[in-house]
Amino acid sequence: MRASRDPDQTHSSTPAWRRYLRFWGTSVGEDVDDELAFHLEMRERDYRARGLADDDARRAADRRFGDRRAARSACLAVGHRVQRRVSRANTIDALGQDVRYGLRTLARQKGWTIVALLTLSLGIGATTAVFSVLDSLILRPVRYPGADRIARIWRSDPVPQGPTLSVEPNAAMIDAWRRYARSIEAAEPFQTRDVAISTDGDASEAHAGLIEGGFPRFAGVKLLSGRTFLPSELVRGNDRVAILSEGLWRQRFSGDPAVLGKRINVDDASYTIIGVAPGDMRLPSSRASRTDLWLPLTRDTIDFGRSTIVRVRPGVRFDAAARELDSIIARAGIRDRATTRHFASELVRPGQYLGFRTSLFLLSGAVALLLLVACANVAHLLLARGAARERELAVRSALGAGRSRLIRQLLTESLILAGLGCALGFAFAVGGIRLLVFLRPPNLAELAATQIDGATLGAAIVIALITGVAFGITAATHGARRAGIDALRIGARSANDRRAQRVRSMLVVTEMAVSSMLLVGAVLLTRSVVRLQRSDPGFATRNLYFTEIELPRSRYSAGTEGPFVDALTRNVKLIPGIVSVSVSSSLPPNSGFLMGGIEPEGSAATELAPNFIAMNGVQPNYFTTLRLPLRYGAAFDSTSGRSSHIIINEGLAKKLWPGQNAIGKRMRFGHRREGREQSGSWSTVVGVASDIPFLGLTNDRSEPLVYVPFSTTDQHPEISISLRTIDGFEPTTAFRQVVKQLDAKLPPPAVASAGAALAESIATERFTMTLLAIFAGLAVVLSALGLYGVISDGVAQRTREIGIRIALGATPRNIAGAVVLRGLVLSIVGLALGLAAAGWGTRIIRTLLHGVSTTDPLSFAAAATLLFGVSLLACTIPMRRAMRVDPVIAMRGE
Amino acid sequence: MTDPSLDFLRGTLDLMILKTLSWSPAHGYGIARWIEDCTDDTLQVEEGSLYPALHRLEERGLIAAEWGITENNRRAKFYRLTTAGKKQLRASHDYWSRFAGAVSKVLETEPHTA
Repeated sequence: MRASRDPDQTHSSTPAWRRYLRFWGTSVGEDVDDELAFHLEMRERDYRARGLADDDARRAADRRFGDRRAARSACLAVGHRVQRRVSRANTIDALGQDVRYGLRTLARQKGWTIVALLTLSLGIGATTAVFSVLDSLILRPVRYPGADRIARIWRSDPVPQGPTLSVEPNAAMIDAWRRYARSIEAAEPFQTRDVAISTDGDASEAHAGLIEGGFPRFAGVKLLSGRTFLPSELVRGNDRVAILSEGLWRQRFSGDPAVLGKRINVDDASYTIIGVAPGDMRLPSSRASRTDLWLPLTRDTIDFGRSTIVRVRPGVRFDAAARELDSIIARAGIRDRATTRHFASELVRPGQYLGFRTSLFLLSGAVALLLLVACANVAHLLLARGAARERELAVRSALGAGRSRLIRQLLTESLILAGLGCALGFAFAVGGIRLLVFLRPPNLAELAATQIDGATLGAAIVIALITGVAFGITAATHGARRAGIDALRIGARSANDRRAQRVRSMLVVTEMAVSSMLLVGAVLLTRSVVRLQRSDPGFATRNLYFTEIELPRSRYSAGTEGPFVDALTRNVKLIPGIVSVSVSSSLPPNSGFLMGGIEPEGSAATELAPNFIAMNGVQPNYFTTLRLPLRYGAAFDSTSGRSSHIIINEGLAKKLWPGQNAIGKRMRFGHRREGREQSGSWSTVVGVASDIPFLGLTNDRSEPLVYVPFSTTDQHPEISISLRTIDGFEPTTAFRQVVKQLDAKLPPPAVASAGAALAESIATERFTMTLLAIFAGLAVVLSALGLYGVISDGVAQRTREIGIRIALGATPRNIAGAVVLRGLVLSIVGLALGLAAAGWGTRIIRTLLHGVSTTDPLSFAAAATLLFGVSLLACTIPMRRAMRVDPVIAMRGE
Repeated sequence: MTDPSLDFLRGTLDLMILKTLSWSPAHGYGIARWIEDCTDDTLQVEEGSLYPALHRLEERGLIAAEWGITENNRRAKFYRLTTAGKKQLRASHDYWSRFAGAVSKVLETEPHTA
């Protein structure tokens, strides 16, 4: 082959050097040029062979080829497309390789991976679960359209005196607001009621929601079928219509599309089914987690227990709306019933005044701290692993892996770990919510509706990823740098190690501080709960059982309740094993209320101090059945029912007649009704009973409590029954049988031991305590692991130094002392910081503590001792290892 | 491509390339010459579209290319038929035969006088 004569000739032969370039990769443009040049050269040669002159041959070849530029660019387009596809495939391939390698590495270090994954996912899961509850109960308790403009409205004392007193707005107010108010779009009253329902004689209990016709619209739902309530159906006598919930419709009527017009028995009255509501039509808050059926809220329904919810117009502030609502009812001259006070309207976000609020915020804070500790621990694990893998990295680096490749590899591993942790965390969150729902206190039925909160899960995942990436990068760059510098030098320790150790020490201190805070909180709450549980209720709970029977209004009236109560007590007494049975209107730790004031005879009180006065109607044998001692006087006798005898608690006796004998003294109740002051007749105190809890276990039991004779002329929606049994007799079955014999239509009542009934009243506190204790326990375990890791790695790194020391005559004791000292310094610093923070922070939980001060020294000491002990334990294993170091082996190298 | 006749032509060129390569691997010039020789130069390959066609066939995986040395020691890009290419050739070959047969029938048949 000849060299071209013309150096500018485009279709010259390929320079030899370019072939070698191809070894590292192809160039699309050069390839195309080479190929086309070859073609032209060949064609030109053919023409020459046919006898054309060189120039003519070249021109002929050019002509024959046609548009070379177009062909070239068409080829280039194809080539570039192919190149892009290949490089993309390469990237994906490299990533896949990294992921596979990462998974293999993680799988190889099973123990490490499991600890890291569990730590991370527990943190994420617990945080998501608790924040989801917070979100559903407090932050976004309603999911109605315009949820941020939804408010509960109630009327309360603008200047609170004593216990906060508030009433619900009455029907007249709601009418006026609907007509005149411009600051609100809608107002809907609602109420809940537990009812007995039956279709074809199959009775069961159900939760009914009492609403007006506009509620579905307010809640932003469409009925699945049928219609909502008409205004004419909100009148008693005309109200025998019901809307089924989707659940009840499917369960009781197997989703029958022709259910409209059929009938359902509610508390033994027959109701016509006029509609079916979707499952997501829910009341803003309800004791029941679900509503089974919807009934009309009749106009004469008593205000007590009825709530009103409003939707404020966009841009209107709640307080401004409240002012307008107040002015409207003032103009219309509508008054609050049953009070002497002038109340003001208050608009409150649903969930704002939930009793569990403080607990929930506390738990959310605690769980966030737990997540912090978990992330700190994962950081530990990543840093420790980075250090341990220096040799592997050094080998890979020596084999040609670039620094960026190593960093990418380590980062991929961190991300895989974080990703797996997130997936597992999601599972933990779902399980955690289930567990919370299962453990929930009975007064927090709303909790059952908790759904996983996407935003929180997202935030937890982001935190986990940040931890993974941040400490993954720290470990990675550190490892890669070491791999570059020291390559395979073994045992050489650089300043980097010390820096990593410093970071890890700081992490341990943080963990210890956070754990001690959580621990102090948990101990305080536990002490408070134990105190409450151990506290003497004032009566004998052993062999005492409590139960309630709800008597449907449709079948029981003041006239028929008496015979039922008489027959019940007579028959229950015949049960072998029952020592005594007593009927009352309520049972500790709860009580009925009267709103009004007490006026002791002879006092100059002209104004009745209005308040809630706890009242309990009891049969004469109530005090003997409960073994509730009377301080003075005697119990009611059989004639008391018709007389005006009362028994008061010690607290009230001391308040009304301090230092005097209350027996024989007289007092009367007064309250205002429709603005008119009404006073009851005078009652004579015949006995003074010792104080027992009646507002739950946590409240002051010396508050006024008045016992009146149980009277069957007053109608009771439900009656309470206390049963005193012989040792070891469980009365549930026998009692239910008696009830069934008397009235087969009543649902079987729940019977609980008095101890359980009392414990139930502090279920919220116990729930909070349990969760906080779990969080604190997890935090302590995690920080102990962190401390253990730091100390034991420190020992491993200083094996040589320890060996030298031992060789120079240090006793194992000295060595042990040095190791333990380092661990204890870290834990004590953390502890000191944590306790200081706790001393300030426990005031948050003041309202949750009963009989325990927020700075209770015993609790602080207990928390400190526990954490200190755990720290000591965490140090002992590395300490033993340090003591066993053989100086000869240690100094020879690793 | 909006002009259907161009699509048709390209399909024809593709088919000829595949057929040529079914005998043995060849470089672009070799393919062009083979087609010219087969048709006694009646069908001159449009060289400007030969190379884009080759590259597209390569992209589709019907042919594979590698750089090699010609018998007179020149470096050239050689193409060979892949398995997918063989399959494609069979399918196109059948189609083309039927198509060509149909076209010639139309061209050769004269109308019957009714």
